Amino acid sequence: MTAKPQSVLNIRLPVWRARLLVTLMFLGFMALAARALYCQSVNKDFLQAEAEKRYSRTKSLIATRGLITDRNGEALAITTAVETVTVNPRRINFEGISTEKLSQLSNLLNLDTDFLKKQLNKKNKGEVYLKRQIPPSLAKKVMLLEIPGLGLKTTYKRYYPNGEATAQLVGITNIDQQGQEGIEYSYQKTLAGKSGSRRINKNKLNQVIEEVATISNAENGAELALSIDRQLQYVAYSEAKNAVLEHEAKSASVVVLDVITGEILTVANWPSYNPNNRSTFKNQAAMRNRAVVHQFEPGSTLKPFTIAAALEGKFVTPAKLIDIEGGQLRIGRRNIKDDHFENNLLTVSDVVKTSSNVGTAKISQMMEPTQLWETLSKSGFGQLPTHQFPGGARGVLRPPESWREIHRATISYGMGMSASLLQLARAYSIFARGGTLVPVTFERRSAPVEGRRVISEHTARAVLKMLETVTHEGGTGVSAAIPGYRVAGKTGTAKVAAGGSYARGKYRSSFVGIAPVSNPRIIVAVMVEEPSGSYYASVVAAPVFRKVMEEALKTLGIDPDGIDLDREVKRYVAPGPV
Amino acid sequence: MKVSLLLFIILIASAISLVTARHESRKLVNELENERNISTKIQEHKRKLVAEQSTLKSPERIERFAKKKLKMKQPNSEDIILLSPSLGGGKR
Repeated sequence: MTAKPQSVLNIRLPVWRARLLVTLMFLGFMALAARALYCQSVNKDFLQAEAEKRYSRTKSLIATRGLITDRNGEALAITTAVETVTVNPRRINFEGISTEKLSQLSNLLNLDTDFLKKQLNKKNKGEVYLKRQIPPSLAKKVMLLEIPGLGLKTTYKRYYPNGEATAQLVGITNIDQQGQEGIEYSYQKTLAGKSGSRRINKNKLNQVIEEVATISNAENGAELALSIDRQLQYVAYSEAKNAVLEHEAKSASVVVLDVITGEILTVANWPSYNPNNRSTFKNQAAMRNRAVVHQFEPGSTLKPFTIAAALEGKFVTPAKLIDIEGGQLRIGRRNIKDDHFENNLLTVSDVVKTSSNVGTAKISQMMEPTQLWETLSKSGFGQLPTHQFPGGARGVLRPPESWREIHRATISYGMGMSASLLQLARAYSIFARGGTLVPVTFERRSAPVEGRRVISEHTARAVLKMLETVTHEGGTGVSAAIPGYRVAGKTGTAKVAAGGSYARGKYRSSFVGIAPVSNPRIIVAVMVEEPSGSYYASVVAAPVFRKVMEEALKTLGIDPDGIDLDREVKRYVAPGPV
Repeated sequence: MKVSLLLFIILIASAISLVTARHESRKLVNELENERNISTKIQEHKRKLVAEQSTLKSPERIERFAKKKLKMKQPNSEDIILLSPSLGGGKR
């Protein structure tokens, strides 16, 4: 046994095995390199696109619609987040939900259980909306039920805290936040803002890991401050509503104007609708902003403009006597009559005070049609409104060349022409501002504004003085008087035109007034359409005027200018029973 | 030889710092996005509160409460005594 033990290390392996291994490894690496080369160059674009699809997203940045406030910054329209409950029927295991949970869900969402079952069973659909636009607090409760497949989607909704009181004024948006009516419509560009988008990369956990680029930044909509006073708007709205209910009328509108700044403090209408409830959007009549959009024959409230034209042309003086010939005047085949007749001879001032149709018609006969037309037209009648409200009525005022004699007479007391309540209120600013017509606005202005001159200051003062007598003893507007303040105004009671003739028993009762007379600040115009029973403006429209004007004077903090000292002292000395 | 070793170490260090920086950046971007979301939520909440406040302050609600709960009423013109500076405030 001399044989040397053979060490493992000394085993001589065949050379080919090593070579084979090296070659195989080389080939393996070559294959990898070739694959890498293929992915990196030949197939690069496709692979990168595929990868990007998996981690890259375009995130849209939503612009929030601007807030609409009243003049004091109180919200009139605001965008709030609401949740939409969605369900993915494919991911829901219907049998896995206990009936208890299902009934809880139906209770929370106020949905029928059968309807829920039907929705949850739509296996062919990727996503089903269970309930749109619910408040976030309710959405939280729904998610606490922990039903798999149930999800939330945040959307935005316009909310109007003042509801019906500002409905036609502020308007509404559609479900996509586009303004549809009112201020929401006309200021769409200002309010909407601009949505943007950003490219981002996300990881597996849905976390944002990289911002690739901001394509465009979102710009939120601008805030809009209106000239409206919310408190006053509410008072005017409820007075309009009360008037309609009390007199069983068709509708009522109220406009309040600031004489100095031309700001529209109030535009209220009844009937109205609830802008927060889409199911009430069917009533077209309730959705119209009648005070701005609807044009009507103003009737006697137009008389002061005829008188102003006559004074301006020096055809009459306030004290000039007019013979009203027993309250009847025949022009062609038409008869003009006065409702109240006491005296044959009336001063021009009394013609206004007692609202004599005959007197006004006779005064109009002293002028050329052009002269009356010019005063009316310069006061804004028949002119396109300059304010920003959609569909603002222009009114109808025919050119003077086409007036026949009867037209001159009827137009002189406000028939045979038409205007909106807002136009009428604005026109009265010539008496309140010493002869200049104020440009009106729905935006907060707060600085005094220049107006265009229509009549001389002298004429304006004279007419204002006459209008003040209307609210005094013997005038047609006594019920518009406000204790402590000097109030000027004019009543209007007119038949409603329907299909070419005047309808029997259908009237329109209006009142336009100015206060305080010593330094006019506010114009209030009221119109009540088709009251049943008593229809005289003194009974229907004047009391509404008084209440709204009282509130306006209080709201704007205007000092009384007409305290009757004797009356107050007497009452102070001997107060009534408590 | 020494130089190449030094370069190798620098290379490794730079590679590691690149990875750390990227990781850090991702973390920060994620944080930024979260903060943005919170900011949006807060703004939404604020708007909700403004809307709520506005509803609670609405003249309609105040009037309802004044009339029903506090039994208040609008004074008639007979109930109002007007004072004027010319009337001499305190004296009769």
